[in-house]
Amino acid sequence: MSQGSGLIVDDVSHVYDRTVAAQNVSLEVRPGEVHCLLGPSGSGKSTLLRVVAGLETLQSGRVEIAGREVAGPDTHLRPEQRSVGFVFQDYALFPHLNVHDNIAFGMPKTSRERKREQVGELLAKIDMAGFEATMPHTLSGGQQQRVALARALASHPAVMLLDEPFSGLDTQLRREVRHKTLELLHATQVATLMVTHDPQEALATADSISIIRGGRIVQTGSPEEVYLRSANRQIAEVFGRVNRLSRTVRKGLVAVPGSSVAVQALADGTAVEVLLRPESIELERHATAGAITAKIADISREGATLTVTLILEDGSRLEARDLARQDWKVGETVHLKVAPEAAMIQSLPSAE
Amino acid sequence: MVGARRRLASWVRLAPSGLITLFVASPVLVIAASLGADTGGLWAHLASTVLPEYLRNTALLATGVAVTTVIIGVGTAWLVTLCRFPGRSLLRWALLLPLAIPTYLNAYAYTDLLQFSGPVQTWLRTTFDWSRGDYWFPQIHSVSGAILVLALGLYPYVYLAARTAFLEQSVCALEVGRTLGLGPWHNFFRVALPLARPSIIAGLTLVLMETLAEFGAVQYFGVNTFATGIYRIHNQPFPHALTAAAQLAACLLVLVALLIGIESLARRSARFHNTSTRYRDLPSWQLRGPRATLATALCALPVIWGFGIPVLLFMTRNLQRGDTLARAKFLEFGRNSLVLAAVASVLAVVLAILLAISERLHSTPLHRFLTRLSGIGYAIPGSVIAIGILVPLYWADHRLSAMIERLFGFSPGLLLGGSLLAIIYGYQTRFLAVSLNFVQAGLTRIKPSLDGAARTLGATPVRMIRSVHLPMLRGSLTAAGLLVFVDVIKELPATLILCPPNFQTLAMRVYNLAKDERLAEASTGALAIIVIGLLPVLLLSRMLDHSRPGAEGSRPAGAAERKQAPTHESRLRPDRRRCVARL
Amino acid sequence: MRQNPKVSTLLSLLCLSLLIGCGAPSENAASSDPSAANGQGDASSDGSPVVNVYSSRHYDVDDEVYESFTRETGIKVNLIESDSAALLERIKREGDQSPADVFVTVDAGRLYQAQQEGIFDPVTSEILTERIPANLRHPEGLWFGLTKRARVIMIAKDRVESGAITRYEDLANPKWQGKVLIRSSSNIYNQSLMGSIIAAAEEKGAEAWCRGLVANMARPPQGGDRDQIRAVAAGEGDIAVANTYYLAAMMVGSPEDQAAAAKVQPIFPNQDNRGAHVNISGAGVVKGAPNRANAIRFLEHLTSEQAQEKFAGANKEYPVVAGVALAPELEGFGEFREDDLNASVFGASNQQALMLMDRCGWR
Repeated sequence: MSQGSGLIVDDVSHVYDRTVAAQNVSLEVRPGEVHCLLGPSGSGKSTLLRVVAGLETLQSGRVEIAGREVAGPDTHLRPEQRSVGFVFQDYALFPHLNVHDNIAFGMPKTSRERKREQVGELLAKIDMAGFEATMPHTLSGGQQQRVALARALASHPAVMLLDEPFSGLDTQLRREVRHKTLELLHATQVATLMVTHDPQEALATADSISIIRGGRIVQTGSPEEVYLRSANRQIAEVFGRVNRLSRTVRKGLVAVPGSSVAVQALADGTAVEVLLRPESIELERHATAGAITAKIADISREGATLTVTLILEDGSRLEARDLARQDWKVGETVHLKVAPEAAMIQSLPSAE
Repeated sequence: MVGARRRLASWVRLAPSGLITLFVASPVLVIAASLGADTGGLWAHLASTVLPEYLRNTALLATGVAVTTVIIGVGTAWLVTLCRFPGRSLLRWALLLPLAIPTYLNAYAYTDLLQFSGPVQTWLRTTFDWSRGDYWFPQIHSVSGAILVLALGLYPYVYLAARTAFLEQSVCALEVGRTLGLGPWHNFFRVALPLARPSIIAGLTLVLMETLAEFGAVQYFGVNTFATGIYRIHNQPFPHALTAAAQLAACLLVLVALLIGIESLARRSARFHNTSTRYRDLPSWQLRGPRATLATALCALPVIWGFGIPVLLFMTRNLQRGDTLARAKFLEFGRNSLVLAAVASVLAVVLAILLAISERLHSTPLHRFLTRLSGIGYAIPGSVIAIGILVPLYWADHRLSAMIERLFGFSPGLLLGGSLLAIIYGYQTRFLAVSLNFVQAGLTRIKPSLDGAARTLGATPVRMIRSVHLPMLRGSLTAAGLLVFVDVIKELPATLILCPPNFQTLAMRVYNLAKDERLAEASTGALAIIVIGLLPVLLLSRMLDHSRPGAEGSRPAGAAERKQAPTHESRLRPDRRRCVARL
Repeated sequence: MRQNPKVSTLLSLLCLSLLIGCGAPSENAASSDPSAANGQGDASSDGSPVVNVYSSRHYDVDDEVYESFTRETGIKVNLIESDSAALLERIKREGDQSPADVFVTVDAGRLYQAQQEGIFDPVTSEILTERIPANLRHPEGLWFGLTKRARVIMIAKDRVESGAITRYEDLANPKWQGKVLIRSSSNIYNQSLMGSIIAAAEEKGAEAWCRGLVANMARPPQGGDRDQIRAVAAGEGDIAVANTYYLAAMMVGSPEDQAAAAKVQPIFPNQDNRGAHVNISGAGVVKGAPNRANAIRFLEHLTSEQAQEKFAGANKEYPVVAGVALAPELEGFGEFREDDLNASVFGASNQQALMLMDRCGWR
C-alpha cells in the first residue's frame, strides 16, 4: 500500500507539441487524498499526468513519489519503476485479454491461485464478481471503467493517476461510478491525482483542487475554498455564473446586500467588485434585519432549482438560485440577504 | 554528465532502427550514391533522347494504376463488406486471388490472348473475314494495356487495406451517418471513405511502389518507363552503363521519396485510433434484382480478369505443351521457392516489428525517417537492387574472410555471397516495405493509451511488446508475412543474381523459359507459382473473412469463456456520443 | 483481426513443414558438395573436382551438355545463371576470392565487355583453336565462341515475293512503309545488328538506315522475336527481323506456332556482299579461376562434336565447329554466307549503336 508522502510535483515545466502543458507547477498529494487538476480541455493537464507517470520525459522540475525522487534533473525512472496506477480516459483495457488477465497484468509476481484470489476480491469490490472471463469489448462503459480502476489498483501503486475517468459515462452512471471509485481510493490510502475539465466533478470528487490555466496553477485549495473563495473572477466563473456588484470600500467595509463585509487590507475609496454565487443569495418574502428589497424580473426552472433574476433598487441585476420551496412570482418584491462569508471581494486592478 | 548519459541513451534507442535501416537500405544508398558519378556523356544522351518518354509513361502508368486500383479495390471492398448480394461470401475471398499471379505472367497471358496473332483477334478475322486495318481492336501492348494488367494484379493490396478498414470502422460511425440522413452512397463518401483513407493510402502506396518497380510486364508491353529504361541501360555491355542505370534509379528514388512524403502527410493528418470501445455487426444493405446482379458482376470481373482468364490460359497451354523438365526437378524448384519465401517472410516480419515498434516507442523524426528509408527498396526494380546488394554484401564478405584469416590462419573464401543468406538479405531490401506497411498499420490500430497502461502497470518495454503488442498484432503480422511470402514467390531478379550455384526457383525457371519466348513451356512453372502463391492468399482471405471488428485476438489461449452472459445487452448499445465526437 | 483457430493450425503446420524443408536443401548441398553452399569451388579442399560456371545462357540443353561433361570427366558443374551484366558485376565484386571459373554469355558485345573489364584470362588450347574459326574467338584466347545465331529477315510467303527484299539495307526502303516488324532496341541482338550496320555504312549511313527502318515499322516495337514472326503470319506486317532459331523452334512448337511458322520464310540478307549478320554466344576462363584446368576442359567439352550437336539439335543454333550436323529445320533454311566481321567490332560499337537508335526514336 501507499506510504511515505504520496506525490510531490515540484516546479515542473513541460512543453508538449508546442503547447505549454505545465509552467512551474508545484503540488502535493498526500496518501489517501484525491487531488483534482481542473482546467479546460486541451490545456495539457493530461500531459502533466503523463510526466508524473514517466510516459513523458520531464523537462524541468522534480517529481517525487512515496518519498523517492522519480524524475528530476538527474533522474528519470521508467514508468514501470514508479509505482503509479494510471486510469486512462479510454480505459485502455487490453482488448486481447479477458477481465481477469487485464487485472492480473500488473500484479506483483505470485502464484496463479493467489492472483485469481486477488482478482476475485477486486472484482467483488467493484461489484463485478464473476466477470473474470469476459472480454473487455463486451463490457459496458461503466464496467470498463471499473475494471480499469481495479487493474490500476491491483499493483498497489503509491500514486493513482486518473485522466478524465468519468467522462465517457452518462450522467446517471457517472454518479454511481464516481461514488464507487472514491470509496475504493479512500480505502486504499493511495495518493490520487485526477484530471478533469468538469468543475462539478472536481467539486464532487476532490479533497483538494488545483485550477490550471495555460499550464499554470492559478489556485489550489479545498473544494470549499476554490468555490467560495475563488482567487479571482475567472476562477470563480469556472464553477458557474457569478453575480458581480461594483462597490467602494468605506471605513474598511464593503456593502453587500443585507450586510457589509470588513476588508482590512484595502484602503478606503478602493473600487472593488463583489462576486456572489447565485446560491449564496437567500430570498425571503418577509423583511428581516438588514435585508434589502428587490423585484423579481424573471424566473426559470431547472428541475428542482429555480433561477431567479432580481432587479435591485439601484437598478443592478442579480441572479439567485433557490430550491423551489416557495412559489415566487414575476414582479413580486422580495427581500434578500447574503452571508458575509459568501461574498468574494476583489479589488479592481483598474482602480489603482 | 547527465546530458552525456542521456545523449548516449538516445543513441542506444536509435540503434535497432539505425542498424536495420543501414542493413536493409544500404543497397539503395549505394544506388543513390551514384548520382555524382561520371557517365561519360551517357546521362546527357539519355536525358535528351529517352528520359522525357520515361517520365511521361511512368507518370501515366502510375496515375492510371492508382486510379484503377482504388476504384476496383475500394469499390469491391465496400460492396462485399456492407452489401448482401448473391456470391458475396465467395467473392469476399476470391477478390484476393489475383495476388497469386505475378504481373509479368498476367502480361504474357493477355498478350497471348489479345495480340493481333492471338486467338481472339484471329477468331474475329476468320469469322468476319477481316484483315488488318478492317477493324479496331484495343491494343494490349500500350500504356493502357499495362495499366489494366498491373491494376488487375495489384488492386488486392487496396482491397485488403480498404476491407480491413471498413471492417474495423465501428458500426456507430456508419449508424450516425445513417441517422443523419445519409443514404448508402453518401455514407460511403462522407463517412466510410474518409475514415478508411489512411488505410487506403497505405495500400495505394504499396501499389504505386510496385508499379514504379514493375519491369517484366511493362517491358513486354513495349512501354518505356523508368524501370524498363533502367533495366535496358543496366544491361548494356559498355562502360558507365551500370552507373547510368543507377543514376536513373536514383531519379526514381526521388519520385518515391516524394510519394512517401505525401503518404506520411496524409497519414499524419488523418491519424486516428478506434475510439469507440464497442462494436456489433456491421449494417448491411440487402441488394435485390438488377442491383444485386450488378454487384455480383462488378465484384466477379476483377477475379475473372485478374485470375480466372490467366489461369485458364496457362492450364490450356500446359495441357498443350507443358514443361519438358522432370517432375522431380519441379519439386526441387518448388521447395527452393517455398523455403526462400518462408524464411524471408518470417525475417521480414521480425525486422518490421523491430522497426515499427522502435518507431512507436521513441517517436522521433529520425526514427520515422529511418523506418521510411528502410522500405524504399520496394520501389526500385529488383535488377538494380540486386546490383546494389552486391556492393555491401561483398564488402562485408571480404572483411569477414580477412578477419577469419587473421584469427585462424586460413582463408575460408567468401561465406556470405552466393549463400542463401545473400538472397534472404536481398528480399529484405526489396520487400521490407510490405511487411512494414502492415505492421505499422496494425500498430496504429493499437491505442497509445494501451502502451501507457502496460508501462504504468509495471511492464518493461519488452514485456509490453510481448504481451500487448504482439498478441494484438497477430492478424497484421500474419497478413504481412503472407504478403511477403507471395511477393518472394513471384520475385525474380534478386534471386537470379544472388543465388548459390545449382539453385533454381520456380520464378527463375519461368523466367528462363519466358526469356527464351517459350511461353507454353513456361505455363507449368507459372501454374506452380500460382498454386504456391494461392496457399497464403487463401489463408489471408480466410483470416480476413473471420475477423470480427474489435475482436482482434479475442480468444486468448487457455482462457475459457465461461461468462458470456452479461455481454449481449451491452453490446447492442453503440456508443453514440463518441461517434459524434469522432465525426 | 481475430485469429481463426483452424487458420492458425494450418499456418503452424505450414511453417513447420517449411522449417523441416528448410534444412533440406542446404543439407543436400552440404553433403553432396560443401563447396556449393558457399560458392567455393576449390577442388583440392574436398577432393571431388568441380568447375564453377557463371552463365547467362539459360537453355535446358545446356544442362544436358553439362551433365555429359560430368559423366565424362567426373568434374561436377556448379552453375549460376543470371543476366550477363549482373554476373559480370558479381565476378568483379567477388574479386580475387571469386570462385568463378568460366563465364558464359550470349552476344559478342557482352564478351567484348567482359574482356574490357579484364575478367578473362588467356587460354591456349590446341583443341579450341583448332575447332573454332579464328573470327569466332579472341586472338589471345580470352574468349571462345560456342554457338552462332543468324539474325535474318523473315517474310510472309503469301505477300512478299522472294527476291523483293535481299539486304538489311532494304528494310529502310520506303516501299515497306508500315510493313516491318522488329522488337525493341533494348534487345542486344538488335544492338549488335545495328553495330554491324555501322561497321558497313559508317555512322551517317547507319543513322539514315535506322530512321528509315523506324519509319517503316508496322507497330511500335513490342514483344520478342517470336511475336514478330507470329505477327507476320497473322498479317500485322509483311517483314520481320528475327533470329533463325526462333523460327526453327516454332516449326516444332505448339500447333498455332507451327501454323504460323509455315507462313513465314527466312531470307538470309546481303548474300551478294558481306553476308548475313551472325552473333555468337561464347565463354572464357575467368582470371584467377580456382579450377583453371577444369575450366579449360569444360570449354573443350562445349566445343566437342557431341555438345555442338546438342546445341544445334535442341536449341537450333548454328554450331561453331565445322562439320557438325545442323538441326533439320536449319538445314532446310539452306546454306548462307555469314558476315565474318569480328564480334569485337560490334561489341566495341555497342554504345554508339544504342545512342544512335535512341536518337532515331527506335523504342
